[in-house]
Amino acid sequence: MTPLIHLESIKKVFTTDEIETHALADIHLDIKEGEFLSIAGPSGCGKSTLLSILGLLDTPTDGTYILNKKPASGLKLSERARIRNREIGFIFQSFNLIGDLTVFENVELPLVYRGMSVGERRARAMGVLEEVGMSHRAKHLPSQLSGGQQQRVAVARALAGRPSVLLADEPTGNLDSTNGEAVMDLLKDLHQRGSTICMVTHDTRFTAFAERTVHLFDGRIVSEEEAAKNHVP
Amino acid sequence: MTMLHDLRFALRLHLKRPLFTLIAVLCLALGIGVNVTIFGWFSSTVLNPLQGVARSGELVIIDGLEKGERTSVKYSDYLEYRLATGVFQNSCGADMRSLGIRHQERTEAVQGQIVTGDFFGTMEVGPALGRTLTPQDCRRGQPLVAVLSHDYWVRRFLSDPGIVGQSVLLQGSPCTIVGVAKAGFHGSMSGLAMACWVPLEPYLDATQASSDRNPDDLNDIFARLKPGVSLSQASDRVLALSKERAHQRTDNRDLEAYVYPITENRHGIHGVLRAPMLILGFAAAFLFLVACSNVANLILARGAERQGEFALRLALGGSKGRLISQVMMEGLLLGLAGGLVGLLAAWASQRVLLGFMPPTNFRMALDPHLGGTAIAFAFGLSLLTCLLVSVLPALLSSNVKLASAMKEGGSKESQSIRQRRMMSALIVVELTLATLLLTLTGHVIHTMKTLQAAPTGFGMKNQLVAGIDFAASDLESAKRPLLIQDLLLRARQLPGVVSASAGFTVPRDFSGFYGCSFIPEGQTFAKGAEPKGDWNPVFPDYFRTLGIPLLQGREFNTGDAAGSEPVAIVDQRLARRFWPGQDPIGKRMRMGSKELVNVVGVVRDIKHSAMGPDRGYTVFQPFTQNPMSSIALHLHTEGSPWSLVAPLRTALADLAPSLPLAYTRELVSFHEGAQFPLRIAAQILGFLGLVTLLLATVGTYGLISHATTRRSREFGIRLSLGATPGNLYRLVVGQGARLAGIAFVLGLAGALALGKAMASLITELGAVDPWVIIGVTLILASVTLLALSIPAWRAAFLEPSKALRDE
Repeated sequence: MTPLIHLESIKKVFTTDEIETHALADIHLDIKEGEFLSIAGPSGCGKSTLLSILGLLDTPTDGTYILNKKPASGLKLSERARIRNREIGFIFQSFNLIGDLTVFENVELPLVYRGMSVGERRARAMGVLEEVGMSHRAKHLPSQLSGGQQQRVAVARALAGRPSVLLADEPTGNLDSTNGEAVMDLLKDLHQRGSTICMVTHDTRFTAFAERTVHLFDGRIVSEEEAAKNHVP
Repeated sequence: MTMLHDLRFALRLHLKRPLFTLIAVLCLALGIGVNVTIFGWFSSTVLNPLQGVARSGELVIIDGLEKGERTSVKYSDYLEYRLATGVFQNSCGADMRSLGIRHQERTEAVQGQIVTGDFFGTMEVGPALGRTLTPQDCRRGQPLVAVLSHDYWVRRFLSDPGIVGQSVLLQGSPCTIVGVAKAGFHGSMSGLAMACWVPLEPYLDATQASSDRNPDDLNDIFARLKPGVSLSQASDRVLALSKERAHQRTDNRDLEAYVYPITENRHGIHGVLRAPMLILGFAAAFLFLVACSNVANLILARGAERQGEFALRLALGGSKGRLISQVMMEGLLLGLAGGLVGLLAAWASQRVLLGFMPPTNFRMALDPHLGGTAIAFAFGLSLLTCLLVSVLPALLSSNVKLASAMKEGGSKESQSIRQRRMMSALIVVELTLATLLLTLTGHVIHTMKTLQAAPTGFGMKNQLVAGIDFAASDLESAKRPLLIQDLLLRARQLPGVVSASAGFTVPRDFSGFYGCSFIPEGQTFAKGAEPKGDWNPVFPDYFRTLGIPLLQGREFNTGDAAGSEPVAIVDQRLARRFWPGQDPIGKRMRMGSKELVNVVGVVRDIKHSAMGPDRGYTVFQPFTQNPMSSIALHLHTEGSPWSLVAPLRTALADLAPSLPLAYTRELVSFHEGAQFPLRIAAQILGFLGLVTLLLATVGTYGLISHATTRRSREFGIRLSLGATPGNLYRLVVGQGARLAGIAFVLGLAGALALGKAMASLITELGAVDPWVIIGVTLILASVTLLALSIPAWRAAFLEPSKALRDE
């Protein structure tokens, strides 16, 4: 079966003031459709850089990236934007909701960029808000919500575009344990309903939610482990 | 101590951010400098119009009102007012004349004033040498004496201290110089330099025979009010007196007299400068507000970055009042620095106004300068600047949400919605003012160009005008036309001359045109409602020389001499209005209270008046039948008119050795100088408009750029959600364009309203032309789009991963 995401010899080098920093080196990684993958590792090991490359927010210095059977390298900015909009859903550690927009407007934003009609947008956005249990807060501003609620809205926004893969960067990092677990339950539920999820975390409690965990160290994959098939944290 | 501490901190803060400080100070200096310059001009030329006169703004004038039109009061009336009112401390009358002064075998025509009453006492001007005139000198039967101006004494008499007591010939009569006025005083006709002052009654005694103006006319009557007497009290008293005198009048005039502040005097340059100065004052105020908005935005932006610092100060026990005081102190320093630099700039540009003055046949004495009032104005403006640029930022900055600000540590997300709204509002203000100012500038420039391009009805190419002032000669009045006829005969023989003639006044001369009233025979008009027109006594060949087509009848010829049947040539407009469908040739009309004149010709309409509305009609009469005290020769030449100046001088010297050419100018220069108030307004407005546009554009760019930088994380989020560079470009430009759109609408509405007000100041300005609105909108839209595009492109091409990391 062809993987949804295929990374081959991915390298990322940052150059500042003539100093080269090798953020990623020789990354080979496949993510299958419907898989829940966790990327773990200490701070500064390249987790977020890898996630940025996966999400087309950044480009690798070298290597091949195939997303949904199509090469994701050398694309024009507008094409990359289109893929981000249709294929990828992001969940960030700091929620990254736009403070001036209401909950509903935040959730419908990817659909606006997709050029969807108003009615369709409305139905889709309200649907995903109900899915995460936040439809009653549709008219609120993010600042009026708790951290856990904001992250639920962020998940709803990620789901709104019905992406091929959800990329979650430390989704529980800014939440207390109760809210963190609630968000993880939500991700688990999404995964069980067929979503492909790639999550970056350094919290060992939550790596257990994933089917497979990839460990990064100094920009390289140093180990990979698969969870027991029947493991339910 | 607290203030000193805040001041020290503010100074340190400004020095630490030299670029911010430099931009803010320059911005304010520009706003303050322009305002102080224009205020200085306004104060020294309009509010205090008479140079060398202490507290000249406190002088009042007595002027008549007849059928709703301002007019001069009569000398005999003045004598009554002076004696009977009891409200004046002192008063005087003055009338400007061209006077011939002969000294050491050389006669020179100069501008002088015939004065009466306590002229020097009212002006509060003392002598530099000898004495000034006293009321005693002005009485009938007294010997003719004169006081020289300091400038004239230096120029003509080489500062000879022995001049006092010497006798000169004034208009051919012996006149003793009794003194020299103190330096800097140029007379009571603002903007013009008088060479001497002569008492009225002795002057009339000596020159009655040669005088060609009604001795009862006094141009201006000046007075100083007694302490405690208000302007309205004095005016009421004079009005009551004028009504009492109305019953005793024998001249059929329905004249009422009022007291006006000197700024409302109809004569002098200050009246002409008033309108452009007021318009420029408005424009400068707009520029000032734009500059303040820019700096307020800068302070707001910096305040947003300092939220953490403000939160920390509050957390450490500082009160909101202290925070406000600190931010205000920062604004005060900027305001004072801007005021100082602005004052220096204003000082350097105080005489720039002189460069805008048109060429004139008069000797000018305009001294635009910065007085104490202007310096006080600069200081006041600096304090106002402090309030404008720092009150809102201070209030907003002090309104910190302590917990979140401390937590965010002054992150870029901490800028409050209120701050952003305030910054947006300031941009709307800036762009509104820029739209308003640019529309008005475009309106004035467009009007001036239209007026300059409008047909005048006469030719201007290769036209030389040479003035002769008979005051400079001893030539009898009756002999003057003969001299000019001889001179014209010679001029026509000069190589390169196509034709030559002469007229009393020059079309489009901003220094004035003569009016007349006339009644076509057989037609009746209510008293005071008689038709009025421009009047010009001319020589034969005048219309051919000036290229004015003769439509019917004939030109004047040598047969139209003194003593022969009085004749006139009228313009087409007059003929059509008063003899519609009839042949105007042979019709007669009564000129003023004089005899009936026979219409012998009709010429095409020409534009005579330089300023103000045309009187509508023009009547030409032979100079020979209406000899005047001066004449302007017109030479239509084949090539450059200037090659004819020397031969013309020689020809005149042959005929009248003592009579010089008073001036030589091309006719086109009269036309160019005609819209002089409008020209001043247009040229300076053009500069102010450009500066305002620049400030508003830079301000808009700065704000949008600042806002874009602060929103880079948001743009990163949008990019991660699939926004294309085009989406972000449109987002940023769209938000700026919305503000600009609001500003354009407000600005244009304001400009249309203000345009009407301006039209009441300068009559040539009509409604704002739609092309001006379209042009200004296009310019502003282009410039604003450019200002918005730069940050918008920057936002569009952000690296999303970097933007998302950006805290």
